[in-house]
Amino acid sequence: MSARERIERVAELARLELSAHECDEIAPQIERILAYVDQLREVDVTGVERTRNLREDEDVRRADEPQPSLPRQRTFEGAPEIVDEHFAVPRVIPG
Amino acid sequence: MSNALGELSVTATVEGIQSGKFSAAERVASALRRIEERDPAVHAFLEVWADEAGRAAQQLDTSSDMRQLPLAGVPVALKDNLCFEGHIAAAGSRILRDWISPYSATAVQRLLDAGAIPVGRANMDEFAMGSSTENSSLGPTHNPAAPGRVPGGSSGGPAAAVAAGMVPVALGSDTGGSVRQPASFCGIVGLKPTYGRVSRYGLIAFASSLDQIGPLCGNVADSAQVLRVIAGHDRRDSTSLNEPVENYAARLANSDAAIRLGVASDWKGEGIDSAVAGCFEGALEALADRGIEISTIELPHAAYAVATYYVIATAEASSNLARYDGVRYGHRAEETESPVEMLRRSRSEGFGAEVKRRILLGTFVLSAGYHDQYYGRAQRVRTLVCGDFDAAFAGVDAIIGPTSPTVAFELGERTADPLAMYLSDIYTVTANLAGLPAISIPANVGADGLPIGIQLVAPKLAESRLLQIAHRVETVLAG
Repeated sequence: MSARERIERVAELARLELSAHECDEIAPQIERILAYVDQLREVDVTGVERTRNLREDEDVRRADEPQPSLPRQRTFEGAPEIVDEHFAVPRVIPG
Repeated sequence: MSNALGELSVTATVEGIQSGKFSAAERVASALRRIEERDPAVHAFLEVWADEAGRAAQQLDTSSDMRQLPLAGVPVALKDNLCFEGHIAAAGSRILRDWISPYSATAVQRLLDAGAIPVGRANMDEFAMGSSTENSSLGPTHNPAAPGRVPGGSSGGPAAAVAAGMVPVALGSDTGGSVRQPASFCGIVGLKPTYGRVSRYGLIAFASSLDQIGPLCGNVADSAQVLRVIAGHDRRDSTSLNEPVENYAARLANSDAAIRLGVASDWKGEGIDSAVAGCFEGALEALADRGIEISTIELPHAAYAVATYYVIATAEASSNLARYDGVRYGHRAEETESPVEMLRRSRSEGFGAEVKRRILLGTFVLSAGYHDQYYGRAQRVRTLVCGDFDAAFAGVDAIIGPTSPTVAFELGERTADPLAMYLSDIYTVTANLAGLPAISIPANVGADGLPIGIQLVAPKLAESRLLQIAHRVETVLAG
């Protein structure tokens, strides 16, 4: 896969639409960054665990007690389009 | 009222107001005047809440508990990624340009409860992605110490606001150095607490395993005073630590105990300015002369920290920024035919170039076939970086080094080369990877008058000791 094809594929996954100009600019930049990142291959990570959480005590469970939350109306205030107290989107099934 | 009030520290502000030397209203008015005078040239603020801040100050002046409040009447700037109910928080992005926070971040609420008065929101690199504040969708901020140069980033607006004497404190966020590096560039103090020390609730997320809110102030004592207010457990952030918060400022004076500092054997890496190296060496000599023990330590995996960081941070960012879908909040593209088209066009119109680059990189390192090679490997190297610090702290109280390899660079100097920009985080990202508290304090200015910062990194939850040491180092370097 060429650098350009790779970026187009990843842009599709990330739901980004890149112009031809953006592709031309970003593809070589990403290649250069990945080449830099490739130095991680030098590190011997045999038997090393992944760091998934910096907390040593992973159990942060608490009682599941209902607490006051944001009033419903407030959650709508930043939305681009609300119809009958629902977030509205373009038609999903073409009709 | 003299304009000199505008230069008062956090501590002097609180003392002045509580002892009746001046009122909170006078103090806030003086900060607002200072902003009016200096900000047209600096552009630290995206918005100033002058009327509201004035009213809050007047109200404070008549309140009965004013004398008990640890930050009574202190004007504060908030980085644009911190939610403050009823105010825009845009994270420097077009996608959130008009978005109004429906609630306040826990750290912001704690400032309010302590009597601090938010005067405005400060500029930043879009979604905190950058080291110069040039990635703001609302234009760059200038370094108050050197017009034409960057203030650093991503908390460039907060740092510039403090450095220009507009406010005595600003809250920023630090994911890879975004509080410490601009503090270094602007000649002030920037503190990144232990991961989990300050609740991230209401901080617009960039990379959740690395993000931490921290104060930018004019001196160490002020940083200690502000940390005490914003730190502590929060049930709304399950990564916040349920550990006691100390009266850090009161303990600063107890810094007579012997101090042992470690210097990484390879601190003088590639790309370090000779002015920065010279300044750091001079600082080490001054500290050794004053009886501070300095020894060499090894951080064998620090050389891989930037590569590790840019895999983990972008992976987490690609996931966190998936929420900007044009449905629940933020920008929505007009006249789209399907939900997928709406999603794609809203994101493409709303995000700037650096944010797109990082989302693409993060999506790639998490994608099928590459996940183990990049993301999995970076998480393993992160474990090794954490282990390096554990071993080093067996023999020293804190690690000292330059905060940034360079002084503030010129606007536009690095925008064409993202990798060069990333490499400016070389000394700061390790503390984020390992979740450690770290602070940048001004060491000196170089021959060209540009500020140079020194960083101290301490073991997890050792903020009290870190601040004592920083206070001592600050005193030595000032003398």
